[in-house]
Amino acid sequence: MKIKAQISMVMNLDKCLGCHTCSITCKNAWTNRKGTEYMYFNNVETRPGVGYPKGWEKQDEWKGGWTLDDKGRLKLRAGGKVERFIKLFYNPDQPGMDDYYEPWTYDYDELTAAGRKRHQPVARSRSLVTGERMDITWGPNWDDDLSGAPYARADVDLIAANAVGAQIKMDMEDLFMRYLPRTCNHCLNPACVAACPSGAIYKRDEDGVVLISQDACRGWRACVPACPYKKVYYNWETNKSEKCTFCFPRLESGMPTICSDTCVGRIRYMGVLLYDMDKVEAAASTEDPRDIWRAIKDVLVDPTDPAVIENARANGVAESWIDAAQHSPVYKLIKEWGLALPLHAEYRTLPMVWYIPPMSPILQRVAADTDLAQADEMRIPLAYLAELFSAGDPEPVRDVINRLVAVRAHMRAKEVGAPEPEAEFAPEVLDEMYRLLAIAKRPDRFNIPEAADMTRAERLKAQREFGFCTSCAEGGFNA
Amino acid sequence: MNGIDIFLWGIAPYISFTMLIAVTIIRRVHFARTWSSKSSEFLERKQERVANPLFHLSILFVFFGHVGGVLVPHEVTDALGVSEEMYHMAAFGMGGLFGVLLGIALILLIRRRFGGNERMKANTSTSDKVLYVVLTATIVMGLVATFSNASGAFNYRESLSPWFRSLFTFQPDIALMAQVPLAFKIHMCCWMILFAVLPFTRLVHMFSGITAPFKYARRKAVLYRARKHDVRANGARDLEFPDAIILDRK
Ligand code: SF4
Ligand code: SF4
Repeated sequence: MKIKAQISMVMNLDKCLGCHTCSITCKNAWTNRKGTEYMYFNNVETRPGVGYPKGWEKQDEWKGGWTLDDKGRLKLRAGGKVERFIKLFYNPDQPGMDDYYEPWTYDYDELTAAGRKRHQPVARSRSLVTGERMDITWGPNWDDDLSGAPYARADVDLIAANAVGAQIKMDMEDLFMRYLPRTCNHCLNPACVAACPSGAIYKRDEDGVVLISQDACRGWRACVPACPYKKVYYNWETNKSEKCTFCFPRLESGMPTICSDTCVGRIRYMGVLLYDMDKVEAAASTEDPRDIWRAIKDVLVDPTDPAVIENARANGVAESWIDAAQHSPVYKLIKEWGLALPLHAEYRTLPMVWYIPPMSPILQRVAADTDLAQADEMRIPLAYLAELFSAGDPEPVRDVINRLVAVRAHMRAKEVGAPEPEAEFAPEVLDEMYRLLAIAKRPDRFNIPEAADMTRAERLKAQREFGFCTSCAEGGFNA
Repeated sequence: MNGIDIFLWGIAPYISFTMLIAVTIIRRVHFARTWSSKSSEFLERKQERVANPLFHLSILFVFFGHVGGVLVPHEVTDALGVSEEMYHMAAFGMGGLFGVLLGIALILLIRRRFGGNERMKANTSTSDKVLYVVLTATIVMGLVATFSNASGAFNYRESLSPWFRSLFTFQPDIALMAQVPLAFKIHMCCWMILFAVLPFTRLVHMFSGITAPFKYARRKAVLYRARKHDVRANGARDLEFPDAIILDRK
């Protein structure tokens, strides 16, 4: 046993508005520089849809994540070390700018500076890369809210679900749509770290945040295809790779990431998890991809277990962190209540951002004689959610959704004075779930301990000193 | 032996080597954040697919050919029973082949970078332009020298190579350069300029290309690193990345 601490996030998809506030605040904080225009450390995609970059889930194409070799050992899907070194000169698995989009701006000046004309002046589009005029044919969130459109039909998970017999129809009356916000998952078994020949990407010992050293990165770009979630981006201006930092300077000061803090739907929860480092490799090597999410849950340990606490202390986990792990909203949602599932656990990176799958309205076809919809009667087909969250196995998603339905049934009974329905959890627990999920007060959503080994002065200094600047002296872009 | 000869064959090589070593170290230590392969595959993939691997592979062969021809003394191949004709045939054949491949790859790369692709234009810095000029001159003069000496009449292994080796004993044998044909002399001047500008350009990535495989081959898959190591004494972050502080998974 070797216990370490990990900062983790859970997103309650039921409540995501698709407002993109998270992406915008993230962009303002981290990726508003030249070369980063196309980077979305946090993005929100409409599902079904192709996602960002286009078709990022097609691992046959990108070779992202891990697979098992003949002997059942973990190996990067991108191939062995020798094979990947040969690919340095030209990497066929590398996404190009057009797989994302070419960033652009508009000639806004034209609106105020144009001389007297017969027609209204217009602000025409101009590429942010070349500075030339460009016609816009694709952009971030091009398929936003377009359920039923060709983009939605091209959804990899939809196709996969249909391939195993789900028969998800995309007729007008059956259309469905949900938002999926995505950040880097700060994985326990990160493929990006393993793929980097320079050793520039590392997992932080104290909080599990995965970072790229901008000094050590040599621009080999092995991490970009290796991350199955396509959450490492190559900066074509500084020629280094960048990724979501989990806003580590904010975490160090006890604040949640900017995307979580500004989330309008209050869908995001952040807290500490303790995990057993010695079990990581075995969990990632679980033979049946459908069992991986359960294996990850086993890696996450009970923070009240005396043996765990003792081991954590011995490994240098600070007292304040152990306490935070014992009062972690994330631990409750994942482990105690079993309400959250990881996104595409079958990629074997053991992601540490989990999702509460969304409930949805009852399909009209069954509405007539239904009181509270059960999981199978909901508009979003279970088979589709299962492709996203449990490697195609509908059982875990059904369980979660039925638990969410139980919270509703309990609250309804309370409201109308009906007898308490039978449920897996005690009424007090259902009340607590209701408070955390529906009311979602800020202090309940986040419990992030300050960095234990830094003084307050250091933490504040760090907040304005981080960054990706290549030309500034030490530290950040506005140091 | 006039002043120009003394400068070109006795002083300039040392300026060139000094620049190469000193600037590389300074850049590595103080400007690591600019050290990169400067890959542009993200912006342009179609032409890169052939041009880039071809360039890198042929330049590797050309490099080893130079090591063989310049650093291995005449006497060694003689002792191994390789006759002068055999040596020239092999060197000219292989050198010519990979030299031509290198030349083709270079043309493809130039076309890719300067052939009107707007994205590539946005990505091309001044140092890239300087580098392309110097590199092209070096390669072209290397090819001219090789093919102008197809007959093998000029035996560089009796003049150029010993002169180059004499640089390392700090006793440059300038007289050896007297009989060297002009094309070879220009090729010499080209590499001296190339070495001097190299550390200012993207070419520094070749040093990482040499060290990375060794470091990568023996390290654990997942690296852990403690924060106390990425905050320096003065509070600034992450300027160096000494390997010693990587903690292994187990
Ligand atoms: S999600 Fe993040 S930590 Fe996981 S492989 Fe991708 S970049 Fe690395
Ligand atoms: S800010 Fe919150 S509600 Fe809005 S899109 Fe992002 S995750 Fe969804």
